[in-house]
Amino acid sequence: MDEKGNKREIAICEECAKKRGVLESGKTLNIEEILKIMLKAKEKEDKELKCPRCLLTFYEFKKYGKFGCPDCFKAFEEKLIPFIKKIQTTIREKEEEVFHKGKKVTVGVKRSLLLSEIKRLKMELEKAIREEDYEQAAKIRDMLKEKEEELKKDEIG
Amino acid sequence: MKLDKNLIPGFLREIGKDGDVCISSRIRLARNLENHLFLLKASLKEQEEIIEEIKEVINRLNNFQFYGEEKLDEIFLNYLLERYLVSPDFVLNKNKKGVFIDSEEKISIMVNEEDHLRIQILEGGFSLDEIFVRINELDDKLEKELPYAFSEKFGFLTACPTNLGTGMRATVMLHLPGLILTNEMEKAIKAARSIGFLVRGIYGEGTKTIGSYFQIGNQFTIGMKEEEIVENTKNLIAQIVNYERKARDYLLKNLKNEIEDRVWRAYGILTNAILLNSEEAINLLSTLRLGVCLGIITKISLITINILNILVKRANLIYYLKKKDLNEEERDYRRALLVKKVLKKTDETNE
Repeated sequence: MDEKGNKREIAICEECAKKRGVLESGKTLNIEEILKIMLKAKEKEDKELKCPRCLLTFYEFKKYGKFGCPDCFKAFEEKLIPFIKKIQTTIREKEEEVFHKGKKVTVGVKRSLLLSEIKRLKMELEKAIREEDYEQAAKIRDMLKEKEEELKKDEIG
Repeated sequence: MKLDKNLIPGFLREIGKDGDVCISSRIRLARNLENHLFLLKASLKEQEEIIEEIKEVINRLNNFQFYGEEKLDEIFLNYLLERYLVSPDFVLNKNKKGVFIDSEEKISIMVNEEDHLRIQILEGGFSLDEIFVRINELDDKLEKELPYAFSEKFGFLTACPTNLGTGMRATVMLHLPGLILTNEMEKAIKAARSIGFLVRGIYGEGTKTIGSYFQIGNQFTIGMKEEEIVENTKNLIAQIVNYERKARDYLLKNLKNEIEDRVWRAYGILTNAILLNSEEAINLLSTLRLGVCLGIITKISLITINILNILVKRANLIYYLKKKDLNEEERDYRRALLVKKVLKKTDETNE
């Protein structure tokens, strides 16, 4: 069985198993042995799948049952779709996958990030002026200008 | 002694629709910010930044009281939990956290519970529709100012996959002594669970049931619209309310003496005991509540029982008495005294 819950059948005789490297030569075919190897391979795969932003691995996600950041969803997307179906519905046999159907955000993510960044910079600017750190204030003002222009472009676009 | 109903949160000050069975309704939304790591990965410093950013927005938009780290000691956290304004996870977790509460104590916004934001509104009785309208407005207002983490496929991104999509849980707190006494509760729980509903104890997830109080709400959060979640929950709750009323009718018709005996014994203990612990008090008040709903007891109002239900809890009793240094036995004594005074006086004045 793979991550998506699909069963994949592979016929293995002792000969093929040795050829595929599933079985060490000299040993006989043992179901337990094969399962162990398959589980190990899956674990390794889960440990290698990592979110680039927060560095959470899919293995850790399964262990804690929690995501580390908003980017985890992109990083784990393929494995997540069947996983969500499994935990978020009682009707498992149904073919269709489970996606969001509810309300959406009205402000785009990029725009709302820009807005919050601008807000933060304005606060920092005020603080710098209050503390009479004019060098810092000039730096922040430049950054602020940049962000505000970006926002304008976003509005036109 | 008559107690001021302003001693308890707004949603318990009135008996709402179907108030004989439905104590209160609640909807909560889980939300996170795109520009921060979730709590599993966010450093303490980042957690503080999250609080500051959210504080800036909410303080500007709403007139809520904010309680931060410095206010949230063990007793105050439990005081809020006992009033259903924060969750057990919020009390226990080691995050930097804070909570916004409106003056009526019907709205609370927890910051850094399991998600960056947990927005909830409570109302008395069976009132999911009204709450839904109001929480939607509040959420829309916040969404325009806070960069919510959202994806087209998965909806509102939440720390736990069980909240993905709408991030919404609609719950009703039910009083189901009839189903308990007729041994029908287990069947009802099984049926509710099989169609995707959660049945939980008095404070929600992972808490035990006391006094025949249950929280029932939707389990699934993704794959359907918010309106559908509310509608499905309403349908199930309406059925359970019906079921509970039938059980009460049955008890009154077939086991009248036993039920009256049970109610008056509860009354007897509540009005005569010298020591009462909080769990015993809640259990007896639960039986008294049933007695009031069945017309066995007529001189005590459901509001009085709501008030006592909150004040007999440990942290709320401490706040009410303004005595932090009482030991357990002293508390049990003062609790019994309070209950006695309130119930006996109600008796005399025919409130």
